[in-house]
Amino acid sequence: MKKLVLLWMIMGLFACQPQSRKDLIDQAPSLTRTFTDDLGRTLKVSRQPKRIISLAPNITEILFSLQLGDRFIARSQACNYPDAALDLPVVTTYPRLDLEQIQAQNPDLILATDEIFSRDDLAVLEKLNVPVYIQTYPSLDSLFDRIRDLGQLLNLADRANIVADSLQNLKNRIYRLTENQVHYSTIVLISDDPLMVAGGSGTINSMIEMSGGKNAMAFREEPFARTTVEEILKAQPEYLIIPSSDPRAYARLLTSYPLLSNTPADVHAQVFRVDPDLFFRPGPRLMEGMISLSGILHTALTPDKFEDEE
Amino acid sequence: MKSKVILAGMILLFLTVAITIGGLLTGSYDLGIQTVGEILLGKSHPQSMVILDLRLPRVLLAFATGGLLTLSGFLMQAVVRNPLADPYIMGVSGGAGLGVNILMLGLAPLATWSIFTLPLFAAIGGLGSLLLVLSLGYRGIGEETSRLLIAGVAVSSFCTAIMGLLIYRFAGDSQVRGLLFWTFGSFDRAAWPGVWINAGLLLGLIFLFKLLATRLDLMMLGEESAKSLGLQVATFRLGVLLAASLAAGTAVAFCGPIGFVGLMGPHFSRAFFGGSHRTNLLPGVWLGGVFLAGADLVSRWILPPAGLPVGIVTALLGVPFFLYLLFRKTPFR
Repeated sequence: MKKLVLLWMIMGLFACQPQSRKDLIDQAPSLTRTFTDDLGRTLKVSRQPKRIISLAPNITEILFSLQLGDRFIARSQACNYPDAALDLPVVTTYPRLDLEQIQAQNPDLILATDEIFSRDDLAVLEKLNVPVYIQTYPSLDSLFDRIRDLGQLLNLADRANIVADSLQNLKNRIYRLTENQVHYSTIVLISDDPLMVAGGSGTINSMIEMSGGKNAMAFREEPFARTTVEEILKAQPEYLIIPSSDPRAYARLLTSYPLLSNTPADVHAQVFRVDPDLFFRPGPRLMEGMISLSGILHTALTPDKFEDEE
Repeated sequence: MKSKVILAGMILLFLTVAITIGGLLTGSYDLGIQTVGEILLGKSHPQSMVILDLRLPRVLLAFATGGLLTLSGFLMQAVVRNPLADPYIMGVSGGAGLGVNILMLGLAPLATWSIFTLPLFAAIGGLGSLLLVLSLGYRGIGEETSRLLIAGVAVSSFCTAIMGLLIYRFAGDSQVRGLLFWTFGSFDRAAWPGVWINAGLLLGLIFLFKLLATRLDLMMLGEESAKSLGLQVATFRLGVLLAASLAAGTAVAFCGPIGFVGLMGPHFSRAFFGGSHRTNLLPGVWLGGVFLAGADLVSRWILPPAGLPVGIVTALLGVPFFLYLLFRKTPFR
């Protein structure tokens, strides 16, 4: 499956047109260019950054899809995919930044998201006189824009546009295949302690809807909503999706909340565990998560159905 | 005095009924009071399970836990003779937290996990912590009891440091979140086994210490006086502290370390029902239950449906009271 997504990205490599970046402020020839990141911070970045550090696993996955080669020099502890990333030095001692290690790498650009490290941590980085570009990923569609943004930032706009377009095409293909199917009531359980589910906004909600499901907790506005067993029982989910790497995740959940065994999903044995990285990391593999989810909800939709029609 | 007691009893009775009804009516399903009443009387209904297995055990567990924490506070304050003694300050909650941390971080070699595993680890941690406090702070009859409190604070801080170390070294994102929420306290996982254990222990300890109330009163006179009146002070004190630890450890085990209930209940009870354990113990425990069940209901009203963690509500109410105790002019009775 992982190879399938990469294949689509590579297949689309020469097919799409580049798009311009909205916040590229200064196009004048010089050694640096000025960008505004997703937090509205303005920073000067080298025309062709050559020593890039990623502090977010989803950005790391995007950088590998852009085939940066030896320009990508270091990562965070959480950056564990693809396997090639594991060869890069680590510059964090979770949950803290290893400033000395970062400085030792002599980076000319640091990439991060606003979710893992606090803005105070990132402000400390700025004292190293290295531009820190921070991204936010509020929705599924923001993924495609952020990949294009990274393309502009890294002077790889054409390649980034191709990757973004191929992923977007894949998303649309998944939607086309599932939109006329029965949309089963689905709950994605984010956490068992405290009990949290995917609510009616954010990336996972979009993934459920685009994969041919109906988010039974969409009435909760938050992306991640704290909930109760009673609220889940009332929502009557036909499918319960548990993103977890723990094979005993559902058994553990039932130990804490035994009444969840009364949901239609449990009664009809429609509780499924999925790879959490395919749902929680806003990177290229979100499409893989959508394919696996649509395969769970609609068993006729085998992975080969999502291959490029052309 | 008598009319004051009757008035306080009436208020407690009213609050108990009101909070119970409120708790049974609060939730995601919109069930009216008539439906709830019919379900309680045994009539079959599609949402019977919601009332009988979710809302009712939650209300009862909150009452029982509040009672246990208050009883624990009573006992600790009596034998330490200090108004600031409670399960938090005596290190029981810190030890229980450490036990839960060890379990939740997967550091205990367990193949299976039942609904009792977490409470068991919390109780063992709480008891171990209190024994450590006693061994460090207890120096025999006539010694200054503040030594016990200082030992409690030290052991509690030590447990917190170990917890921090374990979290830093072993916890992933989801475990950090889980442990953080556990420390806030919650009745999300309320179920009948927890109700039976907490309520059974509470009733047993109330019965025991109603019988021993006079001896608790003697302890309040000071150890030398108690000894001269025939009390086996050392044995009694150890037994009371172990009972207090068991009460607090069990309470913490099922719902996390909920602060200040054990501090407030005894003080309010003394204000209304006098300084003797013969008269203030039972209403104090009742008041603690009402306070915690009420706090849980308020938390669910503030942030429905899951509620604000109840420990936050009790701490918000408890901290000002703690400061009042610290700075008040009249001495502790």
